[in-house]
Amino acid sequence: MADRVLTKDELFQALRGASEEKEVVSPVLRDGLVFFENWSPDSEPHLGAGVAVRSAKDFFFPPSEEMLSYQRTGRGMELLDAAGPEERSRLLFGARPCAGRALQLLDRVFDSEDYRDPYYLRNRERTAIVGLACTEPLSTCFCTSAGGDPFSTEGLDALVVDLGEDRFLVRAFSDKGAAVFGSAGGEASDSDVARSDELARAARESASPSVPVREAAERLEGAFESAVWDLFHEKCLGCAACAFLCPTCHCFNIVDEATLSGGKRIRTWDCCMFPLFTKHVSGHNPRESRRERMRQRVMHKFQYFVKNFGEAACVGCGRCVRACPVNNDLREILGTVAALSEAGEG
Amino acid sequence: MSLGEELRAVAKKLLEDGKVDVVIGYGRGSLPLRSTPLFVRDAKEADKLIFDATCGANLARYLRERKDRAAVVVKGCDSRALVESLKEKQLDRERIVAVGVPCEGIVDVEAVRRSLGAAELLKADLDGSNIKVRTRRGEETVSLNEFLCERCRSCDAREPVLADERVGEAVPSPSAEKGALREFEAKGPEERWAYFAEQAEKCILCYACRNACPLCYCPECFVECTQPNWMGREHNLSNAQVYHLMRAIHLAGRCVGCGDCARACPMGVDVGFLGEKLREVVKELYGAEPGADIEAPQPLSAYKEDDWQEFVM
Repeated sequence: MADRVLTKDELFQALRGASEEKEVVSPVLRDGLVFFENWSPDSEPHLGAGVAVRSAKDFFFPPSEEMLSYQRTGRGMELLDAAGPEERSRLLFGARPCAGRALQLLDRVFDSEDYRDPYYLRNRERTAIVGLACTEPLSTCFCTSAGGDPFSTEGLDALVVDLGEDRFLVRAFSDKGAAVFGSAGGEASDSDVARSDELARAARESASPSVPVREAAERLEGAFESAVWDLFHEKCLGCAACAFLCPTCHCFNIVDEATLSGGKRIRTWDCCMFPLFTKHVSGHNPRESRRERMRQRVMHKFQYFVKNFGEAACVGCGRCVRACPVNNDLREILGTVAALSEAGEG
Repeated sequence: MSLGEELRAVAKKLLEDGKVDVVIGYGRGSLPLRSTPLFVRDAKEADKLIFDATCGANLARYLRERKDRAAVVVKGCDSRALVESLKEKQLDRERIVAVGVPCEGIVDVEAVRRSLGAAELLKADLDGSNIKVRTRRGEETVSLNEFLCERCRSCDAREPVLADERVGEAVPSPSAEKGALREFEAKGPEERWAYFAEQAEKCILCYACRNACPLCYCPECFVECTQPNWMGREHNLSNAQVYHLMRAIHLAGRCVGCGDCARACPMGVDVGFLGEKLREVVKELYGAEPGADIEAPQPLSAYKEDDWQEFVM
């Protein structure tokens, strides 16, 4: 599909149309914070600055989901398929480019040669993602340091760019993306595209000074026993604010919950900062204190993931920086780690 | 000497004299209007210590995990948490030096942010009774008083009750402003439940509130217990409500109303409003104020002949 330019009304009209046959989710401003909500006739999607508090992973790897359920039948049991009735296709509108990148990172875990997660893939396959370019990155954003870009198109089916003066450039990269807008609006001119490129350049420059993600990954090699791990854990509360809001964190727990008549197996988010995360049935915990757990968190996202998949499990969205109750700033942690010598000494 | 200078001098001396191994205080945060807990081991590093209206975290929370000798900066509420923890034998008094500071309320960063709408808070400076706030729109000045934390508004115990060292001047404790609580109570049960549901709906069960609390120290929290399964694992409204209700009840008679739970929440849940009411109830029924007096027995674990027992058939 050639690039098109739509007015805000034409954009919303396209979303309204889509909502007739699909689930549509769009960003809404509530009390100065952005949340993804289901489209309703009086939805006013927020197209201005701001990053959703919760990440788009909620829609593909939700906080808890049923894997299977069963009912007792006399002396036996009947297994019920958790897939349920055929789910409608869905449009996730207004996710930031970092969300597209994050999903590609999650794909490495949930859609690999070794393992294809049916729950994740069901959601992935039925969802079209139309991104909203970041013309005004937040001061806590550092996507450009994490291999991303405020106008990145990776992982998106289409991208919307606010050109100003009620003109929105729409570029589609897949049939799913093209289908959302069809022939709405008009064809984009060269000057529209040039304007978008100009906005992209400005946004790129304003997206936070360099956070040493790559250097940190290099320095982490062999830093397991480094004294640097004495530094970051003391003020950490060991909660899951960072991990739960992070678009790439993906650790989970599986539990069975039963009643007299049946039960279900559910998968829920888990967090490596919880003491219970690695506690063995014997009572032994290989990660006894927050020091070991903090080391694990940083190493997993910035070293092990790099070893396994070639890139850090971080898209620089800044949610962890904003959410941490004690202002334990990941950017500072990476800075300290990157300054380690080759021998892992600070 | 300013309050900050006095505090830094006290910290330096404690470290130089070898009285403590670490001073736990506040440092400047990396985000506007934020401070961050600071663990100072070297007298030279003591220069980083600050104290102002951004210093909300209840630092008493960090003592229970430590085996070394620590000085801890405490406001009125924090010192009450210290007293309660000592009563519950969670801390060794010999290893603690409480450094009391005066507090006139902590700024509610979320409230400031909300007032700016979608504009990002880029920079903020405390300036006497004002806050100078900068967004992309430009600079504006707002009143600090308008943006104090809810719990601070109803604080009537600003003086630290336990302080081995005291810096700054005493501050008057106003009579508690209970307007918001009375207003809430005047609503009918459906409306009150709806508010609670609206709050719990936002909860992501990250347990930041629990972990920030100095009195939540159980090695196995009820949320982790599967036999019995007090709380379901699913992230749904019902379980979130069970979590908040049970935690509030577990803290009844022990919660000192510091409000750090609400400050810790990344989702803006009004955590602690149940605790606020329970503090009143405990005061009414048992005449007890958690943390106020280290000699006073704990209301729910001590027996008195005239204990309220209307509920006993």
